Amino acid sequence: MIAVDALRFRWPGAETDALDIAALAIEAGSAVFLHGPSGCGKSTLLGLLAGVLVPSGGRISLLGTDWAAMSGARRDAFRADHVGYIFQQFNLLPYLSVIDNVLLPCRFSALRAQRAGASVGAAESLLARVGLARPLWSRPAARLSVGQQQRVAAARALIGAPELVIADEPTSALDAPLRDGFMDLLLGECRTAGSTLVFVSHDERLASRFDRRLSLPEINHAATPEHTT
Amino acid sequence: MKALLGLAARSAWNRRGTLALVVLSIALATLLLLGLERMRSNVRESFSQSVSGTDLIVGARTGAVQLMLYAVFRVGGATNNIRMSSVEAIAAHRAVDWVVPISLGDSHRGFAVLGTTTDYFKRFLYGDHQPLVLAQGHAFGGDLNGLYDAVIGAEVADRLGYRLGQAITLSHGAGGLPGAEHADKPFTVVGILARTGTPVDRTVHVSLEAIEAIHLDWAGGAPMPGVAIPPEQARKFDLKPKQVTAALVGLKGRVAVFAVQRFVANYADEALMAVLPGVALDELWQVVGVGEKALLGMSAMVAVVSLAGLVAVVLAGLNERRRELAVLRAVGAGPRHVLLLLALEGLLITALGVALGVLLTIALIVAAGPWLQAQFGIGLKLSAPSANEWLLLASVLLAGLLASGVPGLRAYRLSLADGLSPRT
Repeated sequence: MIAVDALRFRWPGAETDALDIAALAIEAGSAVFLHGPSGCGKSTLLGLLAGVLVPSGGRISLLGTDWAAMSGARRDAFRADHVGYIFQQFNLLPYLSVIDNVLLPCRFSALRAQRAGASVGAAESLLARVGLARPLWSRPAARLSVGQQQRVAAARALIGAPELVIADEPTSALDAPLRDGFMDLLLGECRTAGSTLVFVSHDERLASRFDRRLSLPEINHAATPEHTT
Repeated sequence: MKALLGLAARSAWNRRGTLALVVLSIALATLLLLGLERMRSNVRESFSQSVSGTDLIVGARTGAVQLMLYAVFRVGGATNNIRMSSVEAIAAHRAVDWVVPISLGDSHRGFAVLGTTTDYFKRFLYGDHQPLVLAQGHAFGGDLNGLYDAVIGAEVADRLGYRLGQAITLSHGAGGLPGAEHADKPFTVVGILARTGTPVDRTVHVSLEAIEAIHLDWAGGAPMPGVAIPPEQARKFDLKPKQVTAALVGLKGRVAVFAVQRFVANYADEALMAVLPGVALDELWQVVGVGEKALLGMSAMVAVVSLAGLVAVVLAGLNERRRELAVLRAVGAGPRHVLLLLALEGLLITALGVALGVLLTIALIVAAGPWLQAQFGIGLKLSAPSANEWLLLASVLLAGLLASGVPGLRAYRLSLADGLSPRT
């Protein structure tokens, strides 16, 4: 699913590597918890996993395809087809309705649109499953609470069943009951869709719910942690 | 592409408050460009429609443009009159078909008074060789019975509400000076001309003899003190005109036009000149063209300024939208999509501005057209855009697209640098 081999990444202008990972393999369908303190290169690794960043050395591949072997435009299309992404917050385009936000990946990926079948129907059933009340669906996304926005973001990441779902500290803006509910639905939906989940958080209490736990500082051999994002 | 257009439209709609001002400024620039072009072409058209079928205009020696302006458009004044004997000599030239002398200088409530012969109504043509048509009544007879008859243009009748039988008095010169009224010899409206869209509409026509009659007891531009000749008695004087302002000349064949022009220029007894109306108009456009170009240049600058406003507003908003760009990147948009999104947004705003500008131009022509026609004799016409106007509209759109490339490129570079984690 994901294969990392002698991966090195250095930010332009930096003197040392931000990431140096000898090897990492993540099996399809697994749920991986990735943790580490702030500034250890988590966001950088996610950028590489999503093909937005390209390694300075070594290989990182998704579904057997080396990100670096593709052109920029091809990487964007490949990401649209195979990756769902959830940010910490501000996931939604404020000027689109909730349902249009969920449908956004289908605008950029014919594959996701095709897998979702009747896209609007798929978006509606996802919204229903993440527990968003029907009257909210046509509202502008900006008018939702933070918890509601994160659930819409989850629905968007999952539409069209991408092979990989990346979540970058998606619960950090949520309080405890909201957080637990969100974890339940994210893990459940990824399992249902068969999507691999890479979940980043510094909140280690969540780790027990995952198949596998990875500590980034342990696998990242880059010497100094100050060159980070 | 279609998906991006929808996104661009909704993103712009979300910021409609500020963008509406940009749309308005582009609309006003478009109005300026279009209005100017429409005015320019309509003025030219109406000028070139004002006289046709006249081969030469003869007057005292002056500039060709000046002679044309006062003889046909009633703008400015004559430097000198010409003798009637000279006019008769020209009429006797073997190549000359007809000569219509005209006498200008008086006015009626702001409208020019033209003294002429009955031939004027037969010989004067406008537009595409269209003759003057009387909508009501008849032309003045040219004899003593009809000495105080007047034929008025359509605009005179409309503006002043005149009908047949209306009594009018003429003013000396442009009018407005106290005591410079020919109040003692009132005229009667006997004919009203159909509308022509030319200066004829704004003219009061009387016979040359009438012009002589009202000036019998005048000298040096003022009534002679102690002399008053009643209108009836005036008929007993010799009213044959001695001088006129200019003469319209028709030739038997166009071939002789330069020969006759030379004959007039070399006329020994008096300093005369003859101009070809078309050549004089061309000369006029050359003079006016400089001003037109300057105005067009200014309007183009206004358009550039309003597009600079567009760039500034979109650029200023870009920093707050870095989060939006990251979201788009995450769902699979490439930097080139981001560039395209911003360019489409700018193009959309420009297109809206241009469309609004076209509507404003139409509204202005409908609302102010009659006033302009009445006040300045400029007939603005509502018609499909000309090739020039399409060119102007397309240039504004193209410039808008190019201008939008600036925030587009900035967003492109931001989204490349930011990736998924904007540094806001």
